Amino acid sequence: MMWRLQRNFSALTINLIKKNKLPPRPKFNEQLETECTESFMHGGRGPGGQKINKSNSKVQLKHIPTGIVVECQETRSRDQNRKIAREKMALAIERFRNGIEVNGEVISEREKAVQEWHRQSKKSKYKKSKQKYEEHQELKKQKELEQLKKDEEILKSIFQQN
Amino acid sequence: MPRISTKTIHEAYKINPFLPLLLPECRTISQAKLELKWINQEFAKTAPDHYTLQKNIKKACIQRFHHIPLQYILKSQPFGSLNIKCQPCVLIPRWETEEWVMDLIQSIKNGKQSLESKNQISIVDLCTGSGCIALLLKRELSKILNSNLNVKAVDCSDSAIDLVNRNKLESSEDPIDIEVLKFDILQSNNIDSILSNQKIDILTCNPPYIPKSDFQRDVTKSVKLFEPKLALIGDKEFYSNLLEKWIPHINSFVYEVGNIDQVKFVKDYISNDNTLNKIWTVGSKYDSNKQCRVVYGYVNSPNSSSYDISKIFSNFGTVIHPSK
Repeated sequence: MMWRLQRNFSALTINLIKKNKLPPRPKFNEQLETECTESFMHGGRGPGGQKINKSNSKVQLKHIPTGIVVECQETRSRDQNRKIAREKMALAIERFRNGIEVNGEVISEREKAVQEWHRQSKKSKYKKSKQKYEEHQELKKQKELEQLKKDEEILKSIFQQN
Repeated sequence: MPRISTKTIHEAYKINPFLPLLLPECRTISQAKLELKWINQEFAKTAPDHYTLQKNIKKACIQRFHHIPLQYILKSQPFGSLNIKCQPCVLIPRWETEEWVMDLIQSIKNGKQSLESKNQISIVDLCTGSGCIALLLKRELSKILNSNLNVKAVDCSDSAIDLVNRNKLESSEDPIDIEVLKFDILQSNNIDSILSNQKIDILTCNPPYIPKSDFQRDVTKSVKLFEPKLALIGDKEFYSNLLEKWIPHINSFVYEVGNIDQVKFVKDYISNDNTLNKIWTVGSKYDSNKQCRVVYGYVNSPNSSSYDISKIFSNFGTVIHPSK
């Protein structure tokens, strides 16, 4: 009895995470904007301008108080790269300030919640598939039983005729 | 330029068989990977199935091996918030240009009160090419300014005019309303058709500025082989054209330059002219690669008027010739 109660209790304490109620994404605010220096690197010195046609542009952001540096050159657009670099910087600062250590890696609150959500959804997926399997098995058994009953009845009728 | 080592080529081949084709232009594996990713993304938008996609990517990589600019292969180049279409025979917008145009927009944003007292603001972009400067200015400034904004783009090449008309419709979600004029500013003396009886507030231009002597030595292969020489080779003719023809009709100018001589040329002309040096201020601006990139100038308007163009340029660059 005692064992059963304990188990139920532990099952209740799992805190379920909903995808639409995650901790907010860290934001790059105006205060951070003033604390950061932005530089653009286009690879190589030289005359530039019309003489060279560079398709890539790298944006580097440096947060002076903490010394965090992030870079971005994922897209061809300088505008996009600047936006992505700012998102990265906000995340890096969030990790630095309110980071949680998980398996030797420092991650932010949101990332932890996302990880937990993935784990839970995996768990619930497993549960669901198991449930489905069991239901299916039960149905199968019932069908077999019905079939058996039918067979029996047929057999009985044959015997009675004889 | 040093030859690419066989080791690098082998390493690249192991990652993706197309990667070695991109190495001559990109030089490093990481850059080549990035470029292959962009090619992949761009072609994946239109390809109907996997087989044609792979075929297109292979074709693009081979074109890249022959030094065709990436923007001509992908047919576009991001420019600020726009996605400018590119086609052969028209110069590809450069990041340096994007940088100073964005700075100019920011400067206008900061000093917008001084412009807004005028209800009709006229901006003219000469040698517009793909139309990138005119289109970006129109799009961004119409969000900021309340006054009527009239932007004109001028070019002498037919293919550039075609492309600007295409970019008007296709470079952003909604069409951008600018006026496109075909006009050879060096040949023709009659500039009244552009002026339309009004002083131009800002004259921008990205003229061809590579001197013929530098062309063989400095210009990279893909530019030398595939971009139009009409938009590249030139020295001081556009700057003297500015100083002789346009200066009486404008309030400010922003011209891109290739080297410091061209800045000096503009500055010396104004400081040696007894009437111009009293009312004009000239400045220069460097890009983030620490190269001289822009020469700009503006008239100092009388203190009484609320319209004051100099407020816009107060943080734009460094002044090299203050008006007397």
